[in-house]
Amino acid sequence: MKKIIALLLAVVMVLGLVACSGNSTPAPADNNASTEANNANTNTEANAEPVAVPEGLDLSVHHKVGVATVHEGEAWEIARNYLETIVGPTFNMEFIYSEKLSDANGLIAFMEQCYAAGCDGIVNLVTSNDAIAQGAHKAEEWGIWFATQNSAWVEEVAGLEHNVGQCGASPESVGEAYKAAFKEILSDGQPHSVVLFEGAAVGGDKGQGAASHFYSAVGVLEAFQETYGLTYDKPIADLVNQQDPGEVNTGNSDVHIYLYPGRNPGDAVTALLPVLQTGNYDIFAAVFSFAAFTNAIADVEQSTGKDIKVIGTAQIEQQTKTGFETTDPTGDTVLNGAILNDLPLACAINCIELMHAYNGDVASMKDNGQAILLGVRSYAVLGADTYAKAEKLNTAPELYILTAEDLLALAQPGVTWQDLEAKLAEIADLDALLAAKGLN
Amino acid sequence: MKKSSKLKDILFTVAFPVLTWLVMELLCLLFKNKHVIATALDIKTVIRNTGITAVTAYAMSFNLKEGRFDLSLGAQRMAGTILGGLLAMALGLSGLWLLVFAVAFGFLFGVLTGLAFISLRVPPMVLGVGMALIWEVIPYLVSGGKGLNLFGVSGMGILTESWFQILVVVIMAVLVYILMNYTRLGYETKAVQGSQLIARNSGINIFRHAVECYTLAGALVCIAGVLDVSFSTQMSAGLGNTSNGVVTANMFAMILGSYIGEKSDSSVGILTAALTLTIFKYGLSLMEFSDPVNSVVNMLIFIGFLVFQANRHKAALNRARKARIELAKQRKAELAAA
Repeated sequence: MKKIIALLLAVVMVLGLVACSGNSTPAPADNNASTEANNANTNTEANAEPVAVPEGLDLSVHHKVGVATVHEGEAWEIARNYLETIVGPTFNMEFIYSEKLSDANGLIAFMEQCYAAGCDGIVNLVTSNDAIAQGAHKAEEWGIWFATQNSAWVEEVAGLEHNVGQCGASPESVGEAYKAAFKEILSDGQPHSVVLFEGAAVGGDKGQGAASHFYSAVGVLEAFQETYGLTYDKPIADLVNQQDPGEVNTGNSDVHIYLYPGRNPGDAVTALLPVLQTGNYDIFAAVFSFAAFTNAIADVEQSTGKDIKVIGTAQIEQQTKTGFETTDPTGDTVLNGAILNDLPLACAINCIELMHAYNGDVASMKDNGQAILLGVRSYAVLGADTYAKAEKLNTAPELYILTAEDLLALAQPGVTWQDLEAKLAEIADLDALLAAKGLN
Repeated sequence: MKKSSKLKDILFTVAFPVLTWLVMELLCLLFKNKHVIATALDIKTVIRNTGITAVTAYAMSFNLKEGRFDLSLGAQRMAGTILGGLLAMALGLSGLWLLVFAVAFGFLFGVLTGLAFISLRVPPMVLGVGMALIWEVIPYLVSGGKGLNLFGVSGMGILTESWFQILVVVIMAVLVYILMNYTRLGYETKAVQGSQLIARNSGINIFRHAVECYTLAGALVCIAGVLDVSFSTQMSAGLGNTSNGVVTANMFAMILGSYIGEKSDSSVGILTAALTLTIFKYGLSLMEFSDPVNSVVNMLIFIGFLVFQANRHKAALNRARKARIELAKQRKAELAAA
């Protein structure tokens, strides 16, 4: 009996280990069904209509592309579904996905498996500079194309032939979105104070932390400075780069700004509770994981009887919708503003870069032989009404920011990186984008 | 005499959180002009964090005290909590059911890990790594990589209520106390802690005992997971053995609790240690140190305590050695005189 149990457990363990090894044994994605079942946002496949292929664009060759991701959760499922149902069929691409990766070692291991599986392109979402550098060098060595999703340009590998380019949330545009959102909130003439969970902002301007977090914090501080004429005791970049949490000297006793740098929302919640409890702050902003703070903020609101407005970086997903539709103990919505980043859009740009490489005009994606960084703009959404319109994006083939038609138009020969940049600028205005999609 | 000794033990136990609070209060007042505990919300936070730390430390203690470091506990916590949460949400049930389901899954994962241990005879740490990779995949697959998100889910409020969290922690402490002092499991635990070989030769079924320890640890760690996710609202379904950090972070509480428990009981000791460390960490956060500085301070104190633990009997041993030498010299002198 013991032997049988031992044998059964050994089999379970071996099967489990095989199942776990998604990192090292990539398999073509075949989970559309489960994705669709899990996510009402992603039911797009059935309605896709064939689109005319522009002249000169060769789609006859089937390409296998490895996607090395750092994401998980609903937003990633939406992006993945977009790749599977729109980008893949449009470009005759098949995608192989990694599990959630975190470093260069994981990326290289995944790339090795992809290379062995016959991939001729990689979309890399692992953002550390050394991962990008190592990945790009490996791709160069193997002669496969390498596109990266990252907010900071990695100069070291920009000159490599097979590095087709970078694309990511434009950090400056995230900062601009935060600034615009805060200027709107602060425009009521009343003194406001904010607690800002600034994530990995420290060093974000020097390629160490997260550039988007850095510029988000800068945007908030600039909005306060311009609205209230604040006189900070240090330059804004120095304030954001401070390692220790603490209150900023604003020079205005009615306006308080508390900055908390940290990568762990759990620790931040505990540390920020006493700060919020002082009752000095009526706005809370989080550059990521805003939902992790909502219970703590509700406790403080209940205890002080004072409304705290919440603004956070988010994706178009159920959690953001819930935030705008749920009320807090003071009767206000839990989430008052969101800075939206669109993950499918960045994925699409990477695939367009790859298509140009496949079609032999990789030079059009480079600036004098150097891979360039294309910035995807963030959208500032204040209020449930605007979000209700924005959330319809990505719910049908024609409602993706870049449709199959757009993809083909941007992949055709003759299109350059300047054209891609122009397209990204064209869709940077949320109101205009929603109007173009018939959503306003 | 007996009464005074008991009082001493109580004072020894209470001294840890009280002295920690006094030190942190003094530091916070001196440097930040703040109190460690200023409002009812502070008390609520301390209760919640103490509860999570204590229950996790209890879970670790079942195996670790017997020399088995189960590295799959974090994965069991993640898998049990996410699966329990998803099931409760799918059935439209309240937070209480989330807790019940999570504990049930914890039992299941615990018992399977225990069975794997006694059947495969793989060293516990190696087995733990393998089992962790297996358990991590289950919630990942079931949730489609999304994990558990309780944000905005109705009916979960009870889990964040202070009275409920206190109730859960007290029940756990009493349960562990009874298990360790009035049951066969406790008797066997003490025997195995002394010597596994002697315990086995004395007729204790050490294999069944190991499975029981794994099972209880799995259930307890899932309770900690539920208390945690109910407040943070989210638990991601990470892969690659990333789930264990939250569990091992509570090792200091377990080791300090075992030390404090020498004068009372390990269940009381661990609870006291959890309260002590929660107050300490809360004080540090009020001092506005960055996360890395907080980690360094915590780890330095942890290592300092381990050094103390390893050397605390040295002085007494030296004194006994000196006394023996003195006695020998005295005897030698007496013999020489005779």
